[in-house]
Amino acid sequence: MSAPSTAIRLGLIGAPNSGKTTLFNALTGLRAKVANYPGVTVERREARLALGDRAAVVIDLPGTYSLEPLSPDEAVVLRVLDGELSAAPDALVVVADACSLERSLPFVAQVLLRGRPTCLVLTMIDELAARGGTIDVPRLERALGIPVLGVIGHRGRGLDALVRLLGRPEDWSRPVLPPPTDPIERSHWADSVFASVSGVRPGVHRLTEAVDRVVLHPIAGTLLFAAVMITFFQLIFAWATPAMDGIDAVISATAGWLHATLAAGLVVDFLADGLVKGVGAVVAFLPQIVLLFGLLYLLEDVGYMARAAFVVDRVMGRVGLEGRAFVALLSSYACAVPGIMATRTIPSPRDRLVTILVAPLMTCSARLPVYALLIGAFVPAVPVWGPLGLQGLVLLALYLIGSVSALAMAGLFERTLLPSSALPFYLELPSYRMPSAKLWFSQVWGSARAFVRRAGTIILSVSVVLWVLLHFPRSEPPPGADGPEAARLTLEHSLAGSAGHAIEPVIAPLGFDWKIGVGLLASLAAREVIVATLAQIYASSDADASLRAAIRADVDPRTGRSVFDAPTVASLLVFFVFALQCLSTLAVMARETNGWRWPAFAFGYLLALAYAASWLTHRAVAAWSGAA
Amino acid sequence: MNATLPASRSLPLSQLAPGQRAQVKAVDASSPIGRRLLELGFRPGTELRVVRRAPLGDPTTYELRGSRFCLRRSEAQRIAVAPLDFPTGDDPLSRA
Repeated sequence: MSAPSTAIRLGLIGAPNSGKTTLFNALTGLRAKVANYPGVTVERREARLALGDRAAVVIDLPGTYSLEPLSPDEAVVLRVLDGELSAAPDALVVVADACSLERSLPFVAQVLLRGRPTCLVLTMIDELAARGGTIDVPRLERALGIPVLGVIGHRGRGLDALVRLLGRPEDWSRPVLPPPTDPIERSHWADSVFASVSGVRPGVHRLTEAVDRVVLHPIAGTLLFAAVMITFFQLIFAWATPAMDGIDAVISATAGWLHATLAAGLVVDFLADGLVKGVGAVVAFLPQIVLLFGLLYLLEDVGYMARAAFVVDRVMGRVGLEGRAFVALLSSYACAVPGIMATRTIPSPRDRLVTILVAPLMTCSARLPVYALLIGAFVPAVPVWGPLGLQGLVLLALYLIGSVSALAMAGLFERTLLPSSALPFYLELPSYRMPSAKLWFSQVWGSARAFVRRAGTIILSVSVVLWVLLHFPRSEPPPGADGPEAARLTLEHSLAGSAGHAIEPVIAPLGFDWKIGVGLLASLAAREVIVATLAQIYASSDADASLRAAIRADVDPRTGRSVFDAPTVASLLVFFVFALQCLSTLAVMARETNGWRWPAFAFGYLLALAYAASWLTHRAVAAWSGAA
Repeated sequence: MNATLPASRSLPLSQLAPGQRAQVKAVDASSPIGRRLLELGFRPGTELRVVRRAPLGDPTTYELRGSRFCLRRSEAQRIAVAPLDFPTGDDPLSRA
């Protein structure tokens, strides 16, 4: 038995699409621990495993084409090799796609120059054979001076030999002469090594050529792209709904059962309405996350996501983002939580961060109940043009403002916050591959588990805290107060009610009174909560017709004017377009960026944007309606 | 682009049409972007093929050394190539 301190640390290093992560998953199964490297949005994946009688830690280093970093994110690989971010790996395993060995040799040379025990694993040797290519492995071993092994990672072929090899790094042969250090000389060295080991170069991948003729065709490819994106959208917008409704029903039934079984009082209120509903708030995201990642990883593993990025690159490139950001932003129309998680497939950590920062601006489905209430109550249902009514036009305008702002802010961040002029754009189109069910499952499972463990715990605790704020201190309802009236009094005298009064001077310039203030505070749990909160404040029993009537009829006793006049309604709608009123989004941002710095920044800039835009809207509508 | 160009004359990779083959003549190795392109396999002497442009005209896919890489016009301009042949047809610009 080896003590943990003697475990050998093996670093898997290689290009994106080299099959490195597939190999890592094949070796480690579901044991991988996924975290972030400190200070960067680069994932750190490690797993312990036994290699024969030796304990080992396998580190899946971020995919890279070079050890000459162009950005702080690319420098992560180098810093791991130097032992700056975690204990340095004792030995390095270079992973290269057998079909692109020719291209990978200069990288192998860069790794050899590090002077660590090194071996080379050639993946996808089945594809090499299918494309008619050959590599003389014993010759390659002699030319490089290190052990070389061919595997088929997703089929698990060659893994036994690999495990035997990895367990004995001290026995690995070392190069007699190091490769050249000059980049040009190194490329000549690579060419001569390749010339001596390659019998036949792999031909084109016929299947990939044939599929790409359709998938990347100017018309068919664009239509396919649109169909895939609509599927993504439908998946989380509509197809996740039955499962979410089911979860909702189970949660409500559990809360109801608790109320019916236990004696009425504070404890049961807390259990049923605070804790159980908080758990429900977490679990309710799982159908969306599982469906989104199910499709996303399937398309990524097959090789389509790189093509999707190729098709929309021109559009996203305008604002400095790459094509894959499109899926994340589109998913955010349903919900920013899975949308932000979907940024994981964006290879550039910088683009990933910008996408995360602007994703909350995409109009998510939680804003719809708020828009529906306000538009339904205050915008007249008059036809404007054909079947288009004024209500629909207002809704469309809100979606447009959000989307255009997201792209504009992305462009602004790319130019100011994280300038990128030095970074080249390149995208590899991998060959189409049959996905492996095991790998796919471990990816989807990993995403769901990471969400529940890292973001779920935050969402649950915040839901409980919000419940306390909305229910304490307790006030005794006066005799004769019925259910809705008692609930209204509890809320008005709660900490949140007091906070609503306290922030009134700050939000008054936007046209909001304390009741809207309480609603805004409560909506931090989820935007649509403002509807239920307003219903509670107006002591209306249902959130539909009677609430609409109640907010229309509400008159400010001091001014004698409607609380919800045209400037206020417009300003509130605009506020919801911009403000990051969602703690789940903040929690998932914290999980994905490894800290509270970026969520705090996002909350701050979106609040500032919301405040400024609402204030301007309020002034503009007030001036216009005063003049009209 | 002109079909009568002598084959030895080099031009930026971004000016090739889909279907054309070319040999890389030079990449500016003094800039970090140039060095990265070298590392991706765009080395002098490398033969490549222009596969296709994206539906919106940019980026473009190139096949070289067993891989397919997409580059935007701005990166492809940094690579000097010598066309090896033209696709069938008299003038590549007149092809539909």
